[in-house]
Amino acid sequence: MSELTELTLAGARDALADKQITARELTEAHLARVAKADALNAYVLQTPELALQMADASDARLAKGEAGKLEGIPLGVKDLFCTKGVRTTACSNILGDFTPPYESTVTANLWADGAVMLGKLNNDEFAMGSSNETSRFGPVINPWRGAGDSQLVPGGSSGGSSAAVAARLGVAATATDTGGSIRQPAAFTGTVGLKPTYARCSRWGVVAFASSLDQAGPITQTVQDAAIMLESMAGFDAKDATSIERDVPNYEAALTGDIRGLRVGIPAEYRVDNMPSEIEELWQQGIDWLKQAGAEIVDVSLPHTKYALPAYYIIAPAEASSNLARYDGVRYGMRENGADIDDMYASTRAAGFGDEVVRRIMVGTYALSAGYYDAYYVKALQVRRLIADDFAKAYEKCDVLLTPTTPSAAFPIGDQTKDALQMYLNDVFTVTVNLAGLPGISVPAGIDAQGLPLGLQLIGKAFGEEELLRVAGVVEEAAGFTGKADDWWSV
Amino acid sequence: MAINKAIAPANGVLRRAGGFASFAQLFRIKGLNMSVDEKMARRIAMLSRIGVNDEQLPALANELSAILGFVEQLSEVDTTDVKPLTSAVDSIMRMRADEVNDGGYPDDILKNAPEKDDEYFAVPKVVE
Repeated sequence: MSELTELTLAGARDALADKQITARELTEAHLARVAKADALNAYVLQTPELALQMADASDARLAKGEAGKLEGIPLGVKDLFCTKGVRTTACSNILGDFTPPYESTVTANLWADGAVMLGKLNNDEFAMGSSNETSRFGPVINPWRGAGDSQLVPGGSSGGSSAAVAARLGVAATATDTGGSIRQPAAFTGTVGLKPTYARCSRWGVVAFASSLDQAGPITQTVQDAAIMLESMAGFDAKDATSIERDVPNYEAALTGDIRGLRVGIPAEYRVDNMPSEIEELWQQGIDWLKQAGAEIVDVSLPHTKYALPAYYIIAPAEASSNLARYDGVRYGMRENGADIDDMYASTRAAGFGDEVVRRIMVGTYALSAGYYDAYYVKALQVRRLIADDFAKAYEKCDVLLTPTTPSAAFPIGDQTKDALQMYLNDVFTVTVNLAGLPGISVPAGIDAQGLPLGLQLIGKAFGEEELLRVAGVVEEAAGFTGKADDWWSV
Repeated sequence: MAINKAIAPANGVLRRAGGFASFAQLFRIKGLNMSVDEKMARRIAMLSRIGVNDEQLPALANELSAILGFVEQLSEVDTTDVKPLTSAVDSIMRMRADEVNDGGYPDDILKNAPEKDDEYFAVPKVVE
């Protein structure tokens, strides 16, 4: 096999099962590619020794016929997932060299199924950002370049995950999504990003941002790969109080390609002002593909869509201000000494948190403070219910929704860092899904005039991942997206 | 219901003299239209336990005002009798047996501590 790093997850799995390749060969090929890709800054920590150890163990199990579902598959892990004995920082200075003495449930599930860890992937600090420019380790560079070979962001917060999968620096990657952090980076890099239903994957051991919105999921090369990854990542976990006791289906088996009679809703409110015509055309193209596949197209309304971002920018910071209170310089991470204990807290947090994290903690603190709690926080939670109710009403008329994933293609590094609000608008099509706790997936569906990938988003009913993946598979097939970034970054 | 006295000084810091009536209830606000000034920014930083020096305050106040101005749109939405949604997925808090099922590894717990003393986290002196 000539190009081991070109294999999809399903392809690698089958080649391993057929003994055409070994887990060690596959892992070595990826490690070699990662070692040459420093220019992308996708990995913040490489674990080659651990990877080879895990690959050898996989080969031993494969030889004995005891292979797990992901046996020998080399993956990258977003630095938000705690990995036992391997530094985990959420790409924040405040965590210093924190080395968890425990493993997150999601990654533990992956290793139990035989997957191999290549290392930890870059992300926006505490997953707060849409461009991967707030990381303590510096920005990730999108393997796709813009006009005049300009450098673009890979999206965020899971920018290391999206860049790594797009550049084949891992067969697939784990990611997390609080307002669009899986789907937007997937759209920016021509990859598939799946945010499962809230509570489908355990949050235990995932560094918390906004606990009622955070959800882990995969970024992969194909829809089939996303189905395989989700089956391993998902499941009940007694250690997460919000985890749900519900069987995990064989998601891969759901990819029948048959969506005849399925009702696809097109929400009128997603036709926003100043949307580039290319996005509009791609959306129409998606509608046509699904119609041709036998689906019925239904116009629906989600009237509170425009209030989703403002509600999110109260709820997420409020939860963050509470979650991030734990970083106090006492139990782990960095400490900055002060005159007394209060000064030590304030100095540690000032030195450890980046600007965007400070902004969000302060907005959240304000929204939760005496006198403002009802006007901001409770109001946002009321609007959140109206948004969830909008979806419930739409789903009386349709089974799944089709929208663009993002209002634009990837933008240049540094383009939107000056204006926090401009950056927030990236999540306009994705954030509603987190507020309502629904599953969403971004599928690469086309390229814009600059040659950059664009994604279409499908939104499912709660725990409707099988149907969602089935429709996503049809979009993927119809789009026939085969684009790939050049290896300009390879040294 | 007794309306409590509210003192709203020019700097926007609202103090309430006892009671439970909220700011929203007191003023039946449609839009708070609250911009954050430097004094308020300092207060929020203090509540957040984040050290901020005076030079940072004007920019912080501006950024917070911009974000709060943006979320101001929420006041357009009629939320009369709408129950706040705190969890997107219906779930019942599970109970478990009230017994110790984990622990007993202080070395692991202390391994990442910036400063420790025997089996304890060490902090600057708190009590004189």
